[in-house]
Amino acid sequence: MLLHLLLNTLIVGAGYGLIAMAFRLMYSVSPFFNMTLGAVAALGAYASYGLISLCGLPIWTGVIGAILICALFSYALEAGIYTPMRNHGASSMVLMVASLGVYTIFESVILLVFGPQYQNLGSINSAKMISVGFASVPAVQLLTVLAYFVVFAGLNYLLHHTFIGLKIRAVNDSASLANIIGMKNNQIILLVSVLTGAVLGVDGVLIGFDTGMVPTMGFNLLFKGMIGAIIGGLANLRGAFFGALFLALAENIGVLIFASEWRDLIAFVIFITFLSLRPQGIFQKKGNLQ
Amino acid sequence: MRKWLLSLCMVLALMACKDEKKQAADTKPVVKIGVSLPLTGDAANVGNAVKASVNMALEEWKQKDTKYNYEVVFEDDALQTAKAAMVANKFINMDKVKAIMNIWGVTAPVVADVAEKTNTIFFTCAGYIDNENKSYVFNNYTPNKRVSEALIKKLKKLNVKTVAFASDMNAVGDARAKYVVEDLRQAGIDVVAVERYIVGTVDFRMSIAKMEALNPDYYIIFVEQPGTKNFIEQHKQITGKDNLAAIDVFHEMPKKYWSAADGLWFVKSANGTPEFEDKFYKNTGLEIQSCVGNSYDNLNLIINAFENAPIKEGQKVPSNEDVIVQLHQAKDVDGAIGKISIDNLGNVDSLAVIQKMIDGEQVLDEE
Repeated sequence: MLLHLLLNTLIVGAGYGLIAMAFRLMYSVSPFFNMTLGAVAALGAYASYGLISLCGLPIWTGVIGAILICALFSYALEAGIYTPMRNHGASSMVLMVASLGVYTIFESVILLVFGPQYQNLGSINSAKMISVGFASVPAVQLLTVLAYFVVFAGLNYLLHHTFIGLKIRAVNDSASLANIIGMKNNQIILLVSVLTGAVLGVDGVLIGFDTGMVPTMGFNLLFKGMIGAIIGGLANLRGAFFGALFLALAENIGVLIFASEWRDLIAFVIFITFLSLRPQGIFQKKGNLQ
Repeated sequence: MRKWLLSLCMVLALMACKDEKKQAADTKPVVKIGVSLPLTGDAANVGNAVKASVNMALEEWKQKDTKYNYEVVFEDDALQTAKAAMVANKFINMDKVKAIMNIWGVTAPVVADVAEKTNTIFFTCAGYIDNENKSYVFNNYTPNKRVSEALIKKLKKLNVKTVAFASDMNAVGDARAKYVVEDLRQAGIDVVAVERYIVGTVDFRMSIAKMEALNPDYYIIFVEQPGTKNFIEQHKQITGKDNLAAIDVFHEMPKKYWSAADGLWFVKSANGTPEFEDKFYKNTGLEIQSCVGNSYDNLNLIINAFENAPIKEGQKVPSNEDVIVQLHQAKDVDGAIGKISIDNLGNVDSLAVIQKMIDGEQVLDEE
């Protein structure tokens, strides 16, 4: 049972973690609750389904195509909607409401294009099971875990060992100061939106192969990722990485001790508890609260 | 010239006859039926399939010579109780419908109350609805006792002693969990675990591992999409066994995923005979969903009752009181879900059958 608990925590946590890291990355340069991040992840699933199942492209071409579509979509949203709004002095609340509107439009378009029915790319997934001794795990779930570590390592490297990373951190620390010293903040935000879109695309594609897709999936994905990021602390990527794992562990322990229907309730109780008692999250010092 | 004049006269006479007939059809009294369905939201695929089946039944009636003109008004309730109540009131107060139809137990109780208070005939397809003191409320969904009968018979045949039961937390899931689990226990089958999931759950691994620790002989699930396929695969992933059966949900997956359940069996509530399924697919291009055949039958039952109900003096259409008398007389009627009869409470009785998934197709296992 303990092995199942650990394995499932890792698999579920990896799914939450990819969203949490994307949320944290975008939030670091554009601090508002961006609902469209959930839409971008859902697009990853649907784009891969469209390219592979409907257009008949080879799997890897479809996967890469879907990730590129997500990156482009994320860029287009930022360049076409949020940057102009920000330039006109829109507050975080206005941006959030706008993102809710965009999310609703996106969900309706997905519904019209792909229909309300559940879809899954899992015929490919279920064919490849890998034994880990006490259970068989579909290859896609192990890929999700792998992607979780690779994305974490890659983003960490980018943020802490490259000039672009330095710029992103500068905007994160103080957007106005970065602007004063001549940095083009909007360009940094656009670049981050492309990166975020790609990370969300990876998660969406993996979900499409694993548990499948419904048009309303984006909202739930975003919520769990956001809770993970807030639990860990929004100050750094490590917070999102471990916060998602912590959330998955708490949910799974809840299922074991109580019952499955308590799963979401547990997530939100933890969320509220952290917001009330430790709003800065696990990995952030109190004075550095954003 | 004379021939030409004669032909012209005949054509004019025919046109006049046709117009007269058309006029007669147009002047027939109209009976409006409101259909409230989840046309958007998570259950939109079911709602839209049911809408297609109702339209199919209506088109068939339009080809017949009926006493009244029938109009169906569709509205979206998104499977939300508040919206369903609003739609029901709109049907009654603005559209002046004589009957309302909907599906599923989430919205059915609230519509049933509105319908009963206003003497409006209400047909639903819900896992459970309290219609004991309601004269105008009818439910067309295979009763839980029929599901239990089929399930217990099959489990006994397989010599199953213990089962784990997993279901969605919705009105049908609640009813199944309450009645079927009780029936299983009364039949001497030990239900070692009952797990419930919020609709939309896709990760069941921990829950399955927890149930597997209790070593049940069989798992019985009522987990609807998007959970069904995930549960099947994760069950195999965790247990490595194929001791999984379902109530209904296997065949409610899109057909292309049926192969995920290959080798597994399930209890199928009546929602359309194979002949009806074929006809529905040919007509609409859609796959059959929960309540599709039932709703097709419901519209037919309502229209049939209106056609046969007596008219009192001064009335253009029969009163609902007379129509419900006709409805209660429906016995052994041929329907899309097989032979159907309506009992005194207004429940449509139908049988459940055992189906098996073989090579991505469902085949009848045993009656």
